[in-house]
Parts: sequence; structure tokens; C-alpha cells
Amino acid sequence: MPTTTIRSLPFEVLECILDLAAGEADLDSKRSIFKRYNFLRDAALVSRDFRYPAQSCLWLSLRVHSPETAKKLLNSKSLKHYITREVSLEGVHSGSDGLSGSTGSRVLRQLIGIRSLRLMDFGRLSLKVLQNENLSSEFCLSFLPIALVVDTP
Amino acid sequence: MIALRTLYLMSSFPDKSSTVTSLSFPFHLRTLHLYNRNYSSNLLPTLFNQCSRTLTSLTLITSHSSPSYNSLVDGFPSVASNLLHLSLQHRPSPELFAHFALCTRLEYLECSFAVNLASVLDSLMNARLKTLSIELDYNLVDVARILLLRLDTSTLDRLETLKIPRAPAKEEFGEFGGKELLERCEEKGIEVKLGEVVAWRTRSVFD
Repeated sequence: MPTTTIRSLPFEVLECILDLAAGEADLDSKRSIFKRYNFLRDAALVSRDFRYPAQSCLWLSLRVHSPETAKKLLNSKSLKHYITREVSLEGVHSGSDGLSGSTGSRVLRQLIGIRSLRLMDFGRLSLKVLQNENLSSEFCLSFLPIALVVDTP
Repeated sequence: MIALRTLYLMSSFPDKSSTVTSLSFPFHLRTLHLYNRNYSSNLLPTLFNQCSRTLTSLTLITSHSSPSYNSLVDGFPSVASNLLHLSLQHRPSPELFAHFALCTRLEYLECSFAVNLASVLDSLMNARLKTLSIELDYNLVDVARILLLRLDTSTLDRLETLKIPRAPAKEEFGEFGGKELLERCEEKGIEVKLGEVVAWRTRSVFD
């Protein structure tokens, strides 16, 4: 019987293992977010085989609560390479630095695969932001390019 | 296939009603959380209408003082019959209560503080609940009395799980007036989950 090693595991399986091991990201808890982020960042550095699945997990849960975070995210080379499962976009009245409606809208247009979205206390955000093909049920996983990208959110 | 399934509408939107009516959302929600925000009067009826066949979970963290409450009441009937999960954080208005009879598939009811538990259970007369979760800020004796009176009604006679996470653990719950309820639940095979969260307030409300 052939021996199963990390190298023989499909990256999807490794991604699931890392996602579970990293723990759930509670987007209301900085501690929870940092704990998950630190685990996945360290995992990405373990080996090349770990890098893609760990980075993929890093993009699964995002909290975008300041213009700096939004700018970093929008400038990332990894944007559009990874799926974001859940995202919290926090506006100027949310208690943090907050995003303007236009920045929130730009971020939302760039993320793909969103299943859970929280729109939190924007000053001026049009509902047109939800008329976004990236939120569509017609959007299929097979359209995603598969790439190895080093950049992290 | 992936698509937006869960939406937390925690923001107000400045759009005109005519703009909202013309919107076509490219997704079909499963779960929706509503807050005390100003959504524009046409949003909820439009959203409910477009997700009426898929929306199964609705969380209402909104009271009747919310500027969008009337539109919630107007739109609720279009999703009521499909709901499996309903979470209430505030006391519903009489107009919303009147629509609860449309909830025929409801299996999971979560009632937070300030919800009139007895009225909610009575108005859900066409639901067959499997799980009832009560976020305590009630008098435990009242909760026990309300539930004992209704365990054999059609709404609760198929109940499988009763959760009161902030209630004291079983032994203490019994001492506080919940003994008969615990016994009836055991007879009916209802799993009772208590004492998962410590809440000192529940320990000082015994009459």
C-alpha cells in the first residue's frame, strides 16, 4: 500500500485541513482574526506544498474596516486569485476608521465567491452595490484561475 | 456553484424607492439578518419577493420603532411559509404577529430578551417546532409555566430540543422552579440544554 505524504495530498484536502486547524474566524473578534491569520501565515512558510492552500485559507474570511486595509487589499496581486467566503465591510459610522461607500463598493466588486456578506454602517452606500455579478449564483468556480501567488491580504 | 447566501444588512441605504424597485439582485439568499436601520421602504418587499423560495432563515434584530419596520411587516408574508429558522430579538408588533400563522415550515425558533414568549408561541399555531432556544432575561418560573402549558399544543408537541443557554444548570434550574418542566421534557424525550453561559441575573429572579 503506497504511503500517503503531504506531497501526495491534493491541495484541496490540505486546504480543508488547514482551514479547520486554523479555527473559525469571528469577524467581531480581533483576537480570533489574528489567531487564525498567524496560524495560516506560519503554515504558508512551512513548505511550498503548504503555501497555496494556506494563502487560500487566508482569503476566506476578511474584515475590511479601514481605508488602509481596503487600499492594501485592492493593491494585492492575489486579488481575484482566491475565493473569499465571508466578508465584513465596515463603514464610517461603524466605530472603526471605516470605509466610504465608494471604497466599500470597489472592494466588493473585486472579491469573488462571497457567500456571506455584512454591510455595516456606511454613510452613503447605494443598494446598487448588491447588483454585482460576483454575488451571482451563475458565477462558477471553474472560471477561477489557478495560480500560486505569494502575496497575502 | 457559489453565490451570496447570507446577508447582514447592518447599514442604512439612501436609495430612492423607485431605484430599489428597479433593482434585480443576482443572488437568492438563504439567510438574512435585519437590524434597526433605514433600508428605504421598498427594499425588504423587493428582497423578500426575489428570495421567497430560498430564504429559510430570518433574524430580526429590529424593533417596531425602526424606520423600516412597516416594510418588514409588508414583506414578511412572502417569505413566511418557507422559513425554517426565525430569530426574534424584540417584541413583534401586532401586525407582525398576525403574519406568524403563515409560518408553516418553521422548525427552529430563537427568542431573545424582550420577546413576549407566550404570544409568540401562540401566534405560531401552524408551526411544528423542533428546537426552541430562549435567550434568558425572563423569570425562570414564568418560562417554565408558559412552556408547561404549551408542550402538548401542536406548536411544541414535536419539540426535540429546548435550549436556555443562560439558565442555571439542571439541578439549580429545578430548584428555581423548573423541576416540573424538566420532568415533562424527559417524559416527552425532549433534550434540555441549560447552563451553557453563566448569567448571574437569572440566579436572582426567583419569586
